[in-house]
Amino acid sequence: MLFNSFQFLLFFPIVTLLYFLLPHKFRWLHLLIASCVFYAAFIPIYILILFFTIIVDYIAGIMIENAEGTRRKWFLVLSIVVNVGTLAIFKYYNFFTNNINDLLHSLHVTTYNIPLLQLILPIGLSFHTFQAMSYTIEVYRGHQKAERHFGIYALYVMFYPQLVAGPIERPQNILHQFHEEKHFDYYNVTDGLKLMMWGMFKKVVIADRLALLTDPVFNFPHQYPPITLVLATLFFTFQIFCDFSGYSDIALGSAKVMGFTLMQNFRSPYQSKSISEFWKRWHISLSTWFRDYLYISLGGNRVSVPRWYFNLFFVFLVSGLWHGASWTFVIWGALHGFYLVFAIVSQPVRTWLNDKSGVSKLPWLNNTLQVLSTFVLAAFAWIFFRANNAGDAFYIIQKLPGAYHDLMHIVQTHSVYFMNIWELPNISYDYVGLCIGLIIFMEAVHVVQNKMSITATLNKQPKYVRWAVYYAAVLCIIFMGVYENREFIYFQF
Amino acid sequence: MLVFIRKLLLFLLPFVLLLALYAYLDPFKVIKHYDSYFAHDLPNYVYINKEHGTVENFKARYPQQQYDSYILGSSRSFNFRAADWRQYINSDKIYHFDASKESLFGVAGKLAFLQKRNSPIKHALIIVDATLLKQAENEKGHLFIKHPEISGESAISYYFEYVKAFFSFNFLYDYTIWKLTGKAGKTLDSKALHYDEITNELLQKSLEDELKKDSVGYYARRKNVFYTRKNAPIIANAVLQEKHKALLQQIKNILTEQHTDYKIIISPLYNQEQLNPADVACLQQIFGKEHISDFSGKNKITDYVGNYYEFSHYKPFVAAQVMAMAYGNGQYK
Repeated sequence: MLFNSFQFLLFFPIVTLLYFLLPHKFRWLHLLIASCVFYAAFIPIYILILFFTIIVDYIAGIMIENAEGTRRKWFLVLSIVVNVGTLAIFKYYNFFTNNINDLLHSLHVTTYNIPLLQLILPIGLSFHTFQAMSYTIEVYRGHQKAERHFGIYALYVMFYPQLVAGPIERPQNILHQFHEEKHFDYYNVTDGLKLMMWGMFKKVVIADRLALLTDPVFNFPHQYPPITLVLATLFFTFQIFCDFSGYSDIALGSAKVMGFTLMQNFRSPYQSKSISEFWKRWHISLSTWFRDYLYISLGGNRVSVPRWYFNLFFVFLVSGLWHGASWTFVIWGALHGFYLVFAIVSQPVRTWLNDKSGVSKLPWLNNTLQVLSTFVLAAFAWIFFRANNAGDAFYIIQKLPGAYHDLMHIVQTHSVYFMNIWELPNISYDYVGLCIGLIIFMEAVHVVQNKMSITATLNKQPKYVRWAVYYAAVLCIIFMGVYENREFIYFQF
Repeated sequence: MLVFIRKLLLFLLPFVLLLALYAYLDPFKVIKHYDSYFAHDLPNYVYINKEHGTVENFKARYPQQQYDSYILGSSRSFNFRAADWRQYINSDKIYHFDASKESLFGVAGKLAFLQKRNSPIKHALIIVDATLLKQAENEKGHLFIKHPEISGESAISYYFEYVKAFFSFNFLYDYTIWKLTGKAGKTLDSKALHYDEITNELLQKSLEDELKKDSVGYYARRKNVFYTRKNAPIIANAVLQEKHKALLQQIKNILTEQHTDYKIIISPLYNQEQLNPADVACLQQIFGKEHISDFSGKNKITDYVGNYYEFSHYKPFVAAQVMAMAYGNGQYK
């Protein structure tokens, strides 16, 4: 079920209340059942796939711990093969098969079509397979003891707040929490609810509002002039952040209400001063997963320079593929890989340029330029992430320079009618102004949050101030929310 | 925990009161049952989900009326009057089983609903166009979402759509102002409609009155609405895929089982887009050529602006003309 749905509005308080009413020894079972109900609200039969991988990894974890020598590795390989294999079948089989068919046809090797599978991608597959692999790898590395309680292990994979879109947890962080007896804590509950509220605000007030423009423009880019394509790209840049971080906040908040601490997944990524920093602030659970289990396994940066560059590029290529079985995601990942390698290679030149121009002597200017350029690079890459196909993405990119002329046209004629968006449902000057205002508000909150804890500051205020803020937030969510049963973007992974 | 629950209940009290107010006012007429879901020759002000009114009115009146003949379709079918259809079928137990923004999903759902209730379907007149045929899933939003007894989907989600609609700022503001002052804002409907509860017919009274008063002025005021059409014929993109064909087959199976005498009319729309030949062929293959009458595309009906209220809906006399041809000679080109 979606977090922004009526079903979750009923599900969450019932599950939480029962959780605190039940004795500790039954709570794992209650949460497991609740998580099964949560998952089964999508496509019930696919819960069997989840159970299959859970059983395999549970057994593999124990066998890895009990075995010695190379047998430990074989059990790890079994776990990885089952998880990656499940992902490969459901997510990548048709993609690779279509490409092989196209290649064979274009080379006139055969006219035969390798059959495709009629399968729907199980929701959250990419997330829970990575979380499951994280477990067996950590057991293998000796950083985590194998979980002997099957129910607790199943809950580790299926814990509903982070089941379908992360954060991708590490067993060291969360497994022990399921064993600990949690008590009702007033501040955990209220802080968790505030985090959920903030997440819901970002999702239904900002992200889904921005989607009213980005969806039609990205779905039919040829119908819009360059300036509109630029606007849609900028809006999508914030839409995907608000959508995904909003989900993460709701996940973290709902876990916190019950006393569980999940890892932070976003840290004001658009305030990054480099792409490297961006990936330490964006989808942190995924980027650290790739760093710890792929990048370091390939040798990381403790290899020759060319191999180091290859490792970086390859990891991001795989990351792109993780996001979706489509060339647009592969290109998006490759672009980020290229950004990182280029940043390293060009570092001496950029430092020299900064020194020569005097920018390095003006920290505020230097920082601003770094933040802006990182933002532009990330926004540019998002074009591939959102476009329906590579052709549309390249079309949009090709049109971008024309936005300058469109901007000059607007300045000279004071007319924006040619942007071709004003006939779209819900789109008006007020809409664009409101979207920009909401983005500025959100980034201002991030800037303030970097300097002090907003929650802690709010908790110190008198009751009437706190309740006024809470009512304002809830009323904004109710009255300004866009409710069209929009799924979270990352649900498609 | 009790302290928290007490504070939470206190915090939620205003929202609970608003919900209670919503239930009491029932602006969309979905909570309580009504003798008539639409005002008689007066504006409704609050837009009602026609589907909801159609289904609830049917359930209430069926025991007495024992309907056996149905006109199905979107708002474009509204103007196919029961009185006109009566002359072609030997029944006067006619019901307009229609909905605004009706879909293939909705038409199939309604016929399945009738069959499930063992309500005989002796005659059916199904008015389609590319927009209707294209939609094979439930609609979203309170105005067009299918009744749960038609869609088979969650009743909770259905009724929650109306709660969401009530709590939208624009609607709540306009509704409050209207309740207090009688002035209707943008989100309310001040056009009068003529409604007949027995047949569930809804006709455009305000527009007809305006036309009777000043037909020249009517079209002059709507120059922007009646956009200039191209001279060259336009063929719509094909819309029928496997999921649509499955629904069409479902409709056919029900009509066959019920031994229904039926006609499917493809509307003559102002856009002059001819239903794609592949789609027409599909309909003919499933239902038989004798049941399909295609009035889409560029023809004498669609050429004449005076046949339309605006770019989407043709008038009752056009519907009567089209029916005559469908039950008589068939195609009009």
